[in-house]
Amino acid sequence: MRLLLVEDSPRLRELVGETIRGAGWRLDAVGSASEADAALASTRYDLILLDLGLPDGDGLDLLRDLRARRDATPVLVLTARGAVDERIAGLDAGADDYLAKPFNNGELLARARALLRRAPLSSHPVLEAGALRYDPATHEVRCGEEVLGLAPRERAMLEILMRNVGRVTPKRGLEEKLSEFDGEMSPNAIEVMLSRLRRKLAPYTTGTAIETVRGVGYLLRETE
Amino acid sequence: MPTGARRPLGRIVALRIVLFAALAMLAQLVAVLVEYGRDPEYLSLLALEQETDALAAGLTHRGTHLAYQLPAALDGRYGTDDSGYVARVRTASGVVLFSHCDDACTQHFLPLELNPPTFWLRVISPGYPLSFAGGRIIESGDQRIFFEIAMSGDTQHVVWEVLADEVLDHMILPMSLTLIFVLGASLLSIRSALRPVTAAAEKAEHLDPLSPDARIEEAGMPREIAQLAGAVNRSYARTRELMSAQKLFTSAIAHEIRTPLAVIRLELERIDHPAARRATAELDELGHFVEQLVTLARLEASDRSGFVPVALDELGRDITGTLAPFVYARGASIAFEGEPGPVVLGHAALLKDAARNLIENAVRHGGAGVSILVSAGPGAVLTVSDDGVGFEPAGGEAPHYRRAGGLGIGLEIVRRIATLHGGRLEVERIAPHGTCARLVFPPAGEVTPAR
Repeated sequence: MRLLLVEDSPRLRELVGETIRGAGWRLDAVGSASEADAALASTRYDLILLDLGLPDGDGLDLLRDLRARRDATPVLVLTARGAVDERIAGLDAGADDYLAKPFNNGELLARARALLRRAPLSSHPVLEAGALRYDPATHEVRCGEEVLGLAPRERAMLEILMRNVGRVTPKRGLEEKLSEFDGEMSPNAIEVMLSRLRRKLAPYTTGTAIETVRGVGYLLRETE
Repeated sequence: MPTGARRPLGRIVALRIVLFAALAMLAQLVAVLVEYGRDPEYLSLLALEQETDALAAGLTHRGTHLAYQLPAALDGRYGTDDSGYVARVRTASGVVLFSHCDDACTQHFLPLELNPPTFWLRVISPGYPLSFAGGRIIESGDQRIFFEIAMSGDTQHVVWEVLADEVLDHMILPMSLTLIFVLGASLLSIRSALRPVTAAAEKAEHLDPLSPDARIEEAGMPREIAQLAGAVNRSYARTRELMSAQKLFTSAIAHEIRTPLAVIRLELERIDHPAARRATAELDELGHFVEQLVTLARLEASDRSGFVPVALDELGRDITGTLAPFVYARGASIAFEGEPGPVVLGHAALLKDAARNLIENAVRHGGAGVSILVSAGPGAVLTVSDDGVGFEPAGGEAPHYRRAGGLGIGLEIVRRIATLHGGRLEVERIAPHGTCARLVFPPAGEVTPAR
């Protein structure tokens, strides 16, 4: 896992660098847009952490150039600009997520992990949430060392929720994906399946909770 | 600015034109009087014509028989002895139809046997009062009637009647006609010259100076008024410049504060001491406060140029989903209710920001385990209600920035966003527990400038 950090504040570069390396990832940290261009030209990264206010240009331009080159590397924007319209501008320019300063290490790692999971060419396809692990290759769900016995539909549902850990999965999105898996599903059937899944997870210390956000969807969140 | 009703330009101009016309008439009148007054002989001639015309009204035909009856209006002049006026009406052949003659007749008038001339006039004494004798032939049917009058002393002021007639005929009538045309033409041209101005004024009335296309069209305006419109447009442009300068300023400030805050935040995480945790909590409040200040400053610079129809139910569902992880992480819960329908004309990001502030307030001040309900409708209303303890700050341990207005700024932001969208914020306590905050918007298409 190799990450690129583009941030002009040297101290922030050091602090974020320690956090990232502490998580076991490799990190290249640069302080300007031109250095970032040079780094991107020579290396393939799994994730870019990008500050918007750079001494020699706007991070948004760097981002647009990247997307114009059809480079789909996930980008997490770190910015001091918190105002809504600029947040929108960042997402419009092709950012995958957005983290406003000041942030804490936990938040940074969670967002970075979420983006790395989404990456199609990720070398770590195993999904993680709390103590839960799901390997799409073997369809095996583990909590810690124990293997959980889940029905294929429940497993499919958990996979979708785990891919969106920390975010609400819209009800309709869940319906559509599960329908792809095994035919038309009623909203009621989803509720039933979800409570069965909750029951099966209940005996384990998963470090997660599945919340029903009535009127919106479902949220798998890490409780630690 | 002076208060009170202003008169329309048309009425001001009309009044002035009438006033000046009256003055011109007065001057003309004086000139006419002086001109005529210097020529008593000409006045005598006019008086003779006027009096004989008046006398001729008394002629009547009965078949071929001709009769004369003195008109009643002239009775006091030609029907009374010693009035100083005498008159005689006769035919060319010398038949007298009417006579008010004493000795003076024979003295002043032509002898009856004389075939009369068409017109004659003899001044008895020059100057004023008028004293003259004269006669003229007036044709009535196929008859030629000879009217003769004489006056000495003009005790009944015939001269004034003559002058009044002259003034009416040759001055007042033609000048009034001119006045009517000048007045009409002036009012018409004023109105057509002012039409673009009126249109511009109406447009300016409804202009939002912050909208990027806020300008008054100068084309078609008279030059003087185009200058005024130009000045207004320049001041609009200046306002927009100031606004964009403010945007730049707030975003620069935010950047300079947030990066050091991020550094401090991460440094504190490395210190394993309860004091560091407390400092972190304070720092989070400060960060939140800075974000709100920046939001507030940027709201001031917002305009309605980017407004689009926003479906309230989608917006509510979206923001509920976005904030759900935050809400559950704080031990609270959230749900959404709403049917498709209500649409608001606005800025989706700002509207979400308003809803976000209300939800965050509910989480922060609702107490443990609070459940929050976001609902859209009925009507263009977005509601955030909770069953918590309410908006009071939690005791004396509330962090400094919250006391300093963390809550106040949050609600102020929401209120301003509502106002920018032509709506309002209503907050009320629900018995026995809870708070209900409602954002009430005008239906889409009915947003009126409000600031």
